[in-house]
Amino acid sequence: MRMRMRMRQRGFAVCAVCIVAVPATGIAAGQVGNDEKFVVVRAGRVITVSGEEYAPGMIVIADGKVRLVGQNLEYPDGATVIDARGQTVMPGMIHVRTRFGLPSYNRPGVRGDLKALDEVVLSQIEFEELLEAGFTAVCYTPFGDGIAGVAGVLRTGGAESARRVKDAAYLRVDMTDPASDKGTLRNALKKAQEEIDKVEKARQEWEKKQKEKAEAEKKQQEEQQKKEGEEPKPGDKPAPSPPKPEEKPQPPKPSPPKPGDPGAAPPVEAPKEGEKKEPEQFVPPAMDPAHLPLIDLIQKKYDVPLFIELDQASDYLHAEDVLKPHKEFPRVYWLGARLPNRASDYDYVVKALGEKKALVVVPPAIYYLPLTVEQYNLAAELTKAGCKVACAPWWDAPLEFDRVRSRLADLVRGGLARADALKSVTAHAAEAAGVADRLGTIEKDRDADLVFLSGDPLDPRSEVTQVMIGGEIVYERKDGRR
Amino acid sequence: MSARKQRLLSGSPWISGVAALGVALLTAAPAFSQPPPRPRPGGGPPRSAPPASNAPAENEPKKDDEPVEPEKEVFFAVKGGIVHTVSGGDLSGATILCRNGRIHAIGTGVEIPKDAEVLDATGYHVYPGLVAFRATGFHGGSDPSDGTDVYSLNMALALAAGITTCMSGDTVAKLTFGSVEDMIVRKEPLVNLNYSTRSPDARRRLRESLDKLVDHLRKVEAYERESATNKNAVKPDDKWIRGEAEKHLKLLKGEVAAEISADRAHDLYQACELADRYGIRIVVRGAYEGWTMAPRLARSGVSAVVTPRTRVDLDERHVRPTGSSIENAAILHNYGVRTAILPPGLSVSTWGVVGEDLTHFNMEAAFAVRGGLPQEEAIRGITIDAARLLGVDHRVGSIEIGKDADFCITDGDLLHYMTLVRWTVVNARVAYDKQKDTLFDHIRPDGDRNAPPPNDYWPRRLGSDWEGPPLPEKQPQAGR
Repeated sequence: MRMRMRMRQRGFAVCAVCIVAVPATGIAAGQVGNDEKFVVVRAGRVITVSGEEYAPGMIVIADGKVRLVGQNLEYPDGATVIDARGQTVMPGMIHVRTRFGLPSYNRPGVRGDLKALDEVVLSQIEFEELLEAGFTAVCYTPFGDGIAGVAGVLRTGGAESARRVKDAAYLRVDMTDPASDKGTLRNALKKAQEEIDKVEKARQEWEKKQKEKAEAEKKQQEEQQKKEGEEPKPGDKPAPSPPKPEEKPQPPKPSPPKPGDPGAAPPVEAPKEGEKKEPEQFVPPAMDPAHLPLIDLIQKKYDVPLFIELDQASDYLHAEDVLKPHKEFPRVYWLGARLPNRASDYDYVVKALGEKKALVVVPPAIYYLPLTVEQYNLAAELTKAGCKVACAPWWDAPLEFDRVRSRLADLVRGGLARADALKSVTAHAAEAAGVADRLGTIEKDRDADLVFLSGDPLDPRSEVTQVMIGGEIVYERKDGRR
Repeated sequence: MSARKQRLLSGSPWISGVAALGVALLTAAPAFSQPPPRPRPGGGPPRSAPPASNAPAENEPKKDDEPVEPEKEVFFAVKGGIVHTVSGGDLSGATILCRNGRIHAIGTGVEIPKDAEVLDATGYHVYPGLVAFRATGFHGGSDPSDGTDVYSLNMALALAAGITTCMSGDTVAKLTFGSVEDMIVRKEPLVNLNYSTRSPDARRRLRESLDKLVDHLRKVEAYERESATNKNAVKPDDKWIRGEAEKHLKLLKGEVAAEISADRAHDLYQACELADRYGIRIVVRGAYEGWTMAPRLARSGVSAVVTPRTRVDLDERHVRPTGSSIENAAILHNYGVRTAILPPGLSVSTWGVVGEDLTHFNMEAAFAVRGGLPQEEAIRGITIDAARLLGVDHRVGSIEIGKDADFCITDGDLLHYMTLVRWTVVNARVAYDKQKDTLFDHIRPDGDRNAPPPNDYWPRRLGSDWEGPPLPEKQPQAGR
């Protein structure tokens, strides 16, 4: 299926004319001389997800990143050309919430120090099944009640060094059993605040001590000045005073020797901290690593959002009740619907979610009103209300991965816009996993993680023919399969 | 219009007086405050009055479980209804103005602020939200405000029955449909005692525990007396008072009441003896033979939670009167026993023997009326008297200024069998609207008992804007 051919040389004068047609900056003549590796995809159709669809379309990829998307693009001599003129190309799908290939076990309590990616042994997991279904990235989520840990994003193929996309994608907060989970979150937030207060208190004490010390020294100096010339004391006393003003601007420097941080979320205390070797520097007491992600959020470092897992509609109210003082925390909701016949109850909170323009992850499923054949399209209702909806397969079964596209087609038939359906597994899924700057769309400077399909992605007959990760074809459908 | 409604509308002289007073009512509001508890037979202070229950709600110190008043004032008004205050009388066409979830003013001339949410209940009957002495299946978890599914069908059905407050587990909580705020009313209002003739050992242990505590209290009293003069007085050790003993101590101090499950005369007699011996407040649940010994119960200040429809045959082995009586509630009331009413089933059942659960809470009170209990007293049995037995009558159970804005607004007299709840208001929020929730909307829409049912009552609607399936222009004719 895949064909590579050398294109004939073209004059760069022609190239310049073409660049004018394409708004994005083209490949300047000078760049060709670099070691950049160019790959060009010529596709029957390119679904960028972020905006236009090009049919036919072209994607120029430089060093694993998308450089240009459009029609009739110019590319330098020597680029590898992939001819997929009978195929549709879309961004690789992202699975936002998975335990694929990992064991399930319960770790109750607050374990913000645990990272799901640390559990992954690449050689032990067969990613082929995910690639077959068109998933180029998965977000491994920690397992367990309460606050089980931090999720991480992994590519399903490509060079091993480039597999990890993001170590800390989100902090998973279970709220499926609010009778216990609410207390867990409430206490965790309280504990996180206590940790912050602890450090703050220690700092104030230290500053007070330093002040007293400085005053004492000043006094001594004054006394010394009074007794001027009487006894030239050894230079002990003036010595400690000058380093202090010097040290205050120092803190950014001593990031390597971190005393209180056992390895989790490195940049947390960096600006606050001092180093150990100089006793003059403030050494903050160690913070509980299990609460570090929450401490970050309270300190307005919003890199790792909360991923709040809900079961029933009222769990949303319970979650919001606990997070009432923390309205600004970034958060993603998972509406899991363990009891599908009660999933239509989500309708009670759809409006509230829409007003917040929340990012919501749902299984790509059509529900029914209780005891009826009346359909309830949760994804469509959420979108209509103003939410960004991402879809994640319900179970980590390869069959379920395969079904995702046809389930999306069901949602589209039930009222979800086609563009939103495609975004739900690409752009919005990337946003939910915190990797929207790299994955999820075919745009300039995004990773060239692409899926080649034999037809429209929502057509149940179309199949994934090839998968590209980082500009390399990592999967090709073997003939005769199915 | 039914004769009963006529009677209500025509009004007593004091209703018309109220109507004439208009705005002046606002100032006369204290006139509506509930009367002091019925004097106990044999005199003495009323035992069942919980601390501060007679004081105006606004003056009492804030408790932890009370809602914090928001800075912005939120007004809610129910206007035009026939207001049954339960504790003060009936007001036809009165307006109830609520501020921040509490009743702010009641009367015909009450001015409604412009930004208030107004519920026009003209022609409807406004009752205080019903109080179920005990219920299961509406709240969840050990702390209802943490574990409750506030969108559950059970809760919707209970609200459709007019219930706004119930005791779930050991917490008195509200049915705040769609909200988890201001749910808890009171925690642990009652101590459950096992004091049945069937378990003499448990009875002995309880008496021992109470004796020990009485002894302790005497020692404490003696110490307090002595410490005034003698500085070296030794304070009695109270470290052993933990767990059960702590609850029993509260009981002896009169902070809480005891709940005892007792049906037959002998058990009731034991409960009376216990109340007499230790001077504690006791609420007996069941009490189907209460009618045989009502004076005894009254003398001991024992309250009862009865199920008027209970049927138990008489036991012919005894020469005394035995078994249940439909007059039970009426007789107990006549002798001055405070009586709350509870159906046999304490949950919502949509299967099995329906009609004996909390969806027919008002019907249970109607059974008591059939047995001779005055109608007003029967309503008290599912509102203010139940609230008083739970020690929450300072917040719920009647329509009074300062109390919580919980209403059950019906399309007819509460105890009539055709009456349906039109709205249920909890904490000044409409928690149930018959027209928006299709549970009962297909039955006599908009309160008109003669109107035909609508065609589109199934499936259960989500929100009010669902139009239902398109109807054929002409209904198909049945084949010959």
